[in-house]
Amino acid sequence: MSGVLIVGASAGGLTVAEVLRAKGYAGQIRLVGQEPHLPYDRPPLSKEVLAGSWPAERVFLREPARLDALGAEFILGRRAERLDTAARTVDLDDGRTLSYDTLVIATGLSPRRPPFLGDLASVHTLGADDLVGVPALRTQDLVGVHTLRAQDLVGVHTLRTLDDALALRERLRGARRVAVIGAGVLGCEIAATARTLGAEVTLVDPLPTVMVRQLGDELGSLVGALHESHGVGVRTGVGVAGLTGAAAGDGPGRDGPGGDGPGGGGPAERVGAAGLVGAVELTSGESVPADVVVIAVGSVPATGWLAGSGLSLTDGVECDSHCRAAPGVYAVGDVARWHHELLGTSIRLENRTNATQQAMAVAADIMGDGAPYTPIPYFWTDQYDVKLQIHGHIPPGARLRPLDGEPGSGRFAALAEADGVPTAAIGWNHPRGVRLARGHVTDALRSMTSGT
Amino acid sequence: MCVLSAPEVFDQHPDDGVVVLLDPTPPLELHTAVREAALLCPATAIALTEER
Repeated sequence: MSGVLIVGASAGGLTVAEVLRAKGYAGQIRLVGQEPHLPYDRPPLSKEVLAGSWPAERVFLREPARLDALGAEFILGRRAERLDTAARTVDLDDGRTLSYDTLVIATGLSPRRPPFLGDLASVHTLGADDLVGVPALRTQDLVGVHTLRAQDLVGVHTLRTLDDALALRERLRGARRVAVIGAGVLGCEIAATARTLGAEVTLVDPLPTVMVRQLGDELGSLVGALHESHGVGVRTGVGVAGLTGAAAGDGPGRDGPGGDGPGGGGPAERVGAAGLVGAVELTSGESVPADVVVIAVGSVPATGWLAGSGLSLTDGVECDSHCRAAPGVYAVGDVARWHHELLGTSIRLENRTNATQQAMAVAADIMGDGAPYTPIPYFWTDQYDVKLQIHGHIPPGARLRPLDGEPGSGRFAALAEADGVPTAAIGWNHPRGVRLARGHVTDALRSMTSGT
Repeated sequence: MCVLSAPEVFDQHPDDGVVVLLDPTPPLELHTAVREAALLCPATAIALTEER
């Protein structure tokens, strides 16, 4: 017996292992994790961890003793590189080949890479003219400058892993101006955290409204207004053309001559001002000065290692209603696209609650008592002093119907309605209200699927 | 999420929404629901002690 092999050792993978054991599965369970860390929780990374209000250790989902008691093998710091569904094997990057009876794909997401990062930093502000007293020196004579690409600039960050969060936390210390590119859930949370830490923050997104994909126009506008009320520069409806480096002597903490003023400029900064990011160039021609740039422009399912496996990989691992991708192969969490029987369509959810719920469904199916997985999507976000909770889905043009409190005030519960049908329950600092409102959404969904 | 999973065991305070534990030793037929609630808790705030 080769047992259950779980590729991905985050919330989804861990939960599959735990629920299998809880249901009495006694066979071998192995989990492969790309990161060196034991399973940890990602939602706090952009909030408590980034703010420094939690020590990093607090994100770990289970105590080591509880993981030991699972009787599962954790293979950490290793990447799966290839799947052979006929032989039922997975190759790892250390040359090992693991066989399985049941495979669970739980590899999650990778941050999406915006096109402007791959280009040469076309507008580099460090030029001969900036170098007073060295008129003969031309830009191309400066070592490294002509090959400097936007991705190499110091101060440009993404956030997906714990290590990413800790690196960005370090960078935010003493940062004066922070630009966040991408106003989705992650970008908005990072902007709120950076602002709370005292930085001047600009939030940039080409879409017209903050978090419009998750919240629609009306509710998204309220979140945009929340950021503005905290002093964040919200620049929606405008794209990013590129990043430029800081001019000589520029960079964080350049409060006085010499560029080594208080508040920044540690040893790492002395790699030379040329390597520091200086600004975000917008497609409108404007320049947003920034000594830290965070890129949060969405993610893509981490399915590269499954190329050639025969699995269907259009926007995630395509699965049936039981989250089965092929005989003996399941997918869970952010990486899984499955057929939601109640909605009558295939969906993929990028949220924490789904990782656990879907993992419970998959573990049940592996044990032979599965059912079609038909959750009401749920996510929450914490920004400033607001906890926003959503059960369901908010289409772009949905209208808000207040149930308790007024939208725009500090606390309300509401429904999002599309064509008069409730599609989502919304709680803005109203956890009890959103739970009660959820019933309207489930009722509407049931009557829709059974009524016609 | 815990109130949705096991409403017999968990409730929410009407004002702040903070969870109220209704039954610290729930009966056997609720154990599966309570285990689910613990797994789903976004704050991993539910600790279970299981005795055989």
